Amino acid sequence: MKETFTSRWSLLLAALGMAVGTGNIWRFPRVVAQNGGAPFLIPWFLFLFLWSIPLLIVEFGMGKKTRMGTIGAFGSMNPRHTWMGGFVGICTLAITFYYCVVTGWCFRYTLASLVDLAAVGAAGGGLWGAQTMEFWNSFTGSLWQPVLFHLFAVLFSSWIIYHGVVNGIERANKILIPTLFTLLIIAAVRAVTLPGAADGLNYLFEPKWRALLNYRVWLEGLSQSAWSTGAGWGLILTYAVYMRKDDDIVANSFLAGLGNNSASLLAAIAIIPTVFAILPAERAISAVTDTGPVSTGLTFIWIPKLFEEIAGGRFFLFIFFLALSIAAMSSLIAMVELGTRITMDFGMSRRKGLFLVGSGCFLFGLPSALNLHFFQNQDWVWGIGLLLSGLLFAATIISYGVEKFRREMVDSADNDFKLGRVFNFAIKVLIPIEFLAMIGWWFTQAILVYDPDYWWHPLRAFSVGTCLLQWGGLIILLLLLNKPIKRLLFERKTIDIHAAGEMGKRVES
Amino acid sequence: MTAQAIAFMIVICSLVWGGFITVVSLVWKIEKRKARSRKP
Repeated sequence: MKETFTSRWSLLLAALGMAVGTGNIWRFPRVVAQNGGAPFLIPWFLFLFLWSIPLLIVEFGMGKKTRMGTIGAFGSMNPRHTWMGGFVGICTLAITFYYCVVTGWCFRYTLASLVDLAAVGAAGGGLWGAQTMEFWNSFTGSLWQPVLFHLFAVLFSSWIIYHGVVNGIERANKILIPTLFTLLIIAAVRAVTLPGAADGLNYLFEPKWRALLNYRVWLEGLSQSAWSTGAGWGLILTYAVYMRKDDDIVANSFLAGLGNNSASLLAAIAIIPTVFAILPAERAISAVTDTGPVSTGLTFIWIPKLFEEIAGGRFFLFIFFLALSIAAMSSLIAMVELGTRITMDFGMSRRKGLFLVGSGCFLFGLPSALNLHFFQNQDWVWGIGLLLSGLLFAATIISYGVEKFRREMVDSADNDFKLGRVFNFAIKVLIPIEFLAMIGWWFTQAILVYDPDYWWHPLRAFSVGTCLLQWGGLIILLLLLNKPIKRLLFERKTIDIHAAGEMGKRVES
Repeated sequence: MTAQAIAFMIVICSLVWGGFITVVSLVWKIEKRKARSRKP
């Protein structure tokens, strides 16, 4: 008997925890600034409804219907698509490996800012007054520090998952998500009340309509929406396994998506006006859009410098990194549970499955913790791979029958809201077109901008070749294993059901 | 802040935060009604 969330609100908090991650605080403000502010917000908001929410609905529906993790869910919908569930699961797990490293970085910076806060008036020995670039270089250049914090992130998330759905995931998110939103609101209020913050708000919200003619703004908006909401990652599918029988799907998907975008907007309001309040306009723009080493420019290099200039800076720097760590942690919990759920579908206990997944996260995350070049390659390959995961969800629903799925799961009596045929259009037409646009755009970027001479080379960090090699290898392997995996998953399930039936008969007699 | 920026800020914040708060309050009402109907 599977555990279930105790209430709808617990499921929603867990879904919000999954969706709101480092991308909201770390990536969103930078991408908004790079794309001129207001014009970017329009496609970013539209694609929430055109890509993210339809896929969230699919994930909720598949998880609730099949009550299995990604591999089992895809296999139950269409046995020939079992490998697709494998791709989705492994793609998200590959992200988990280096996401543990990122969470470790967030913990390190939170600790440094806490040390500074505790040492007010004295030299803290943390981030305060330090050369932030040197701090970053000495941290990532150290052999043991990134590994230690990476290990801590793995152990902390595993400890939560070990306690199960109600005592682990549910309880953690009940604390993490309200705290995160409170911290973001405190940071945003502080930012907009700084003298000169109006320049930043102007930059963020001044509508420059001509920019909407730039296709880049639309593609960046679509990509941000796809990555940030966690749609197509298999994480919501995993949480939906623990939904109560009569829980709604449609309103829950809208809440997860809109909650995620609310957090992103709060983060942008907390960061961009702060930068403009402290730096002159031109320097502010270059600071906000600075990618820096592994895109850490704004978050890890500029933010600590800027907070030195505001009253109560030590406190607000700690608040900022604490919010970032909580966002990272709440998403990491969902990722580790995804892996654990898959192992449990194969008959393992939660404890054994978690040990396997936790050990895997630590070992396979080590190369990313020790080598930023490897980290960037993995981020590129599996980040783009998630777009393919989104398409695989749509493909499976199309093969199952979109209309049938809609009648069974989307417009059924359990749901508070009905979607009608708009859902069919989104899955059959919009998702495939959006996928082609995004994949075409990112590969074109690789060919023309990132690595024009060696875009085909399979061993370069940002090449098309490295994506095709790693995805191709995984897909071939999964296709070869499609039948044995199917047999292992479903025949065992049949045996279990049969055994339970036999046991029931014995008890009755 | 310019008038245009203020207007756009109101629109986008109303859509995002307003949308979120509206759906939360709708769900709240539905859940309350369901809980009441479950009571004997």
